[in-house]
Amino acid sequence: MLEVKNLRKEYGGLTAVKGVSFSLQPGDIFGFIGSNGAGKTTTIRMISTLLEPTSGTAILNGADVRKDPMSVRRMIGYMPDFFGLYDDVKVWEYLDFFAAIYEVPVRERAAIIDNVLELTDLTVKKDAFVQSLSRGMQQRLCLARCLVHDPALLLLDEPASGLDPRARSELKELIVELGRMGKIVIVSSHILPELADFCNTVGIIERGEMLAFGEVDKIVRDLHPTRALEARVLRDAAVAAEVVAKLPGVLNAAAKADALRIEFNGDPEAQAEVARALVQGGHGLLAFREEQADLEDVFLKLTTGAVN
Amino acid sequence: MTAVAANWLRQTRRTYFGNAAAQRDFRVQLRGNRSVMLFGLYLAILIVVGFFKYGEIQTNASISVVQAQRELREFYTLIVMLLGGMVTLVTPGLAATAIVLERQRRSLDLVFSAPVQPRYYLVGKMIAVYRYIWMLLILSLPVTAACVVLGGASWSDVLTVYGLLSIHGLLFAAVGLLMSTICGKPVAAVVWTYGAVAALMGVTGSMAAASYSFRMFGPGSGGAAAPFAIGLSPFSVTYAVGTYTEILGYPVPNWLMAAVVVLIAVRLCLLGAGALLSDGRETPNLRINWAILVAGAAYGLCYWFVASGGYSSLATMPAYTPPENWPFRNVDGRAVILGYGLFWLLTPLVLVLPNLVAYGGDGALRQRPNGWFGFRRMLDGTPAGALPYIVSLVVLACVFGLLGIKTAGGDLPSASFLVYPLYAIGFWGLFWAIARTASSYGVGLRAARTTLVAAFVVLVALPVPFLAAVSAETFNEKGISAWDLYLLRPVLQFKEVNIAQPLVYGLGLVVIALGLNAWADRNWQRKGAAVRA
Repeated sequence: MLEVKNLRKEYGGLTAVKGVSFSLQPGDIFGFIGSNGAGKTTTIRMISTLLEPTSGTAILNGADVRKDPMSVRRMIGYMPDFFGLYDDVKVWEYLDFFAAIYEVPVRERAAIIDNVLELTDLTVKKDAFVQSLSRGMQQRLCLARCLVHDPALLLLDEPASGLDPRARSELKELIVELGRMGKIVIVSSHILPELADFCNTVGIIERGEMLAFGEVDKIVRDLHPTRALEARVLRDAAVAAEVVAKLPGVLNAAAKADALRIEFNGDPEAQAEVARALVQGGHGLLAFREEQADLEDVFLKLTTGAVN
Repeated sequence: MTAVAANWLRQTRRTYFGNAAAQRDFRVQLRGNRSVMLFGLYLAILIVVGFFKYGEIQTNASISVVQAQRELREFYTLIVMLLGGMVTLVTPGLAATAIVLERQRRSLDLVFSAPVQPRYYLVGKMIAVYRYIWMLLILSLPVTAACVVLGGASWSDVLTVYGLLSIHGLLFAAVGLLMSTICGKPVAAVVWTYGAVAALMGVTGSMAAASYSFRMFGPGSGGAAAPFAIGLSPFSVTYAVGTYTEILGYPVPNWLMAAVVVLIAVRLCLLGAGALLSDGRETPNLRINWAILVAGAAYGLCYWFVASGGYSSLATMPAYTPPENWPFRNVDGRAVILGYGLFWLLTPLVLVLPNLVAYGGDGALRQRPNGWFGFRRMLDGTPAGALPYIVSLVVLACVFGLLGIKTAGGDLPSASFLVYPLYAIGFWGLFWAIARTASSYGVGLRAARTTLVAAFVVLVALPVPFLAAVSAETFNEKGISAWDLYLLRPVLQFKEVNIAQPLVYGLGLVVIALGLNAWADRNWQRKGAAVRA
């Protein structure tokens, strides 16, 4: 379990992170969202023990980043927003070096290297020089490096930046798989729709302050108390709108051609009642769905100060 | 207790045996044909030199056995000097880019997000360089073995010299790693490393030369007694073998003394590099280490100062009567010599001061203004610690210098000696204040550092040709002269010493420095605030 408590970082007169707090459980994939300079990387670097917090702390499975950084380091895999690869070594040598500095026993290293290469789909490149790998492969090699010591927490800072769509999709699958394996994964990214796809928790940070934290659905619900329902009917859309408008939870219903747009703030039972009314009214219900609020909308809404 | 010891043993074993950083570097060093070609070329040079030198001795059939023995000894010395040159040239090159390249490719963060301490990493880098140097030394064994077979040296001589050379290699590697940690670009790291090694060679070379002349021409000349500084240069290690320094009546082999001093210097360099790599988080431990080691190093230098060359005879002769032509006849000679030594021993501050004093927002975050005098900031290299650092160095050197005289059995100098520490503080205080003044304009760290270097040039270097042009003589001129205006005049008088000069200069410079600093602080409040805004 990771518990971040009131983490704060000051540089001279500048406060980069202003008391960020959150906690994550094993298996959580946490999307850390924020514009450039918001404080994502600083927070991640503090959790990875590379930066000492000015105040506050983070505790990973009982180990404090300030009091016991070495224990924390043994449990984390940190992938920065740059590769930092050694060009002049082979793929297996690179992983062997990191396995050694993570104190993986010599007799286990070969098997572990084979496993992480297989997991990241790099087995065929085991004897290739790092400089000969494509960008996507180098990114996967970075991830493989983070996994050689089987960490409990993965800190991935902008892992998808600069990758083509295929490489991005493969990386996404890999992260989901790591979450399934019970690891806590923190991913910072600008590509918000992607984060919404595979993160179960997100945090939105701006100017060093955590503006929102929680499950994606909950954040969206909290920020959009009125939801939009869309329905398509075969006939009498205007009549259907009048009928629906009288139902509990419906704030407004408007018809346009064969489509109905219903503003709604009721519970799921009331939502089912709307669908039932459209079916029983003989309007020929063709489609009925809740319009999903976009994480990007939420981000823009929050960071423009609309919430405050 | 047992657990702590076991953990320490485990960490030490991990650091020194099977160090991953060393293995990685060594793997890369030996990959490809580059190393084979370098080793081949190196062996060829050694063999060619050996062949020609031996041929020269062999063809001279008329020389006596004693002469032949001397020639063979010279042959051995030449080979060892070549090895010294190899260590001096190759080691800094290998070490200078070790850290800076990692920083440039941004792999340091990856390493330090693992359970790795700076010590582990630096030792790994050292091992990689050291192993390479040992390979070069071992490759030269056939040539030095020829010296043993031919009678130029004994096996124990050769092994001791190899040990001492490898320790010098360790020092150059440590200097390279320190520069590599400080510098932001590989080219700068290489240039600064070779610059630092050249300066080191200048200082240790002259110390070794002075020690050698003391051995040859000093009291008890020609014997095995010689100041240990003879072993501080890799080019004079042959002279360190078989000679000793007498400490409290006990003869201590010079190779051992030199090795200890060099290893202390290695430790200092690595501690500095470690402090920089750990972003100051290891400072509490460093304070203790620095305090002990700096004291040890200062004592070593001051001991040398007192025990070597003419100083020794001066310090140990209470009833000394200076000859007629002795420049310090009318003043206390011990005070002047000790004072001059104190001042000139501080000259490495030229390299350190710009990095310590200047502050600004465009460099490392720790170089922000944090006051003008803070003892606690002394050893973390931040601006507030610069002045206490200068003062502490002067005080430490005085204490250990005087202790050194007492240890050597000499009389303490008169109180007039105190004008030299005052002058030293005034001199370095002036440049400290100039750097703070430049910084107070908010011009940035680099510009402030450049201003300080420019001030050195303008106040110390440029007046020399000008004063030489307007004066009939050099800075050594007797009586009142245009050279009296020169900042270094109080420590450059060798014909006639005016003890009032360092006093007047010292007081004046201290007042100027404090005044400038007060003005700089006010300036920072106004201009700096504008820059911050």
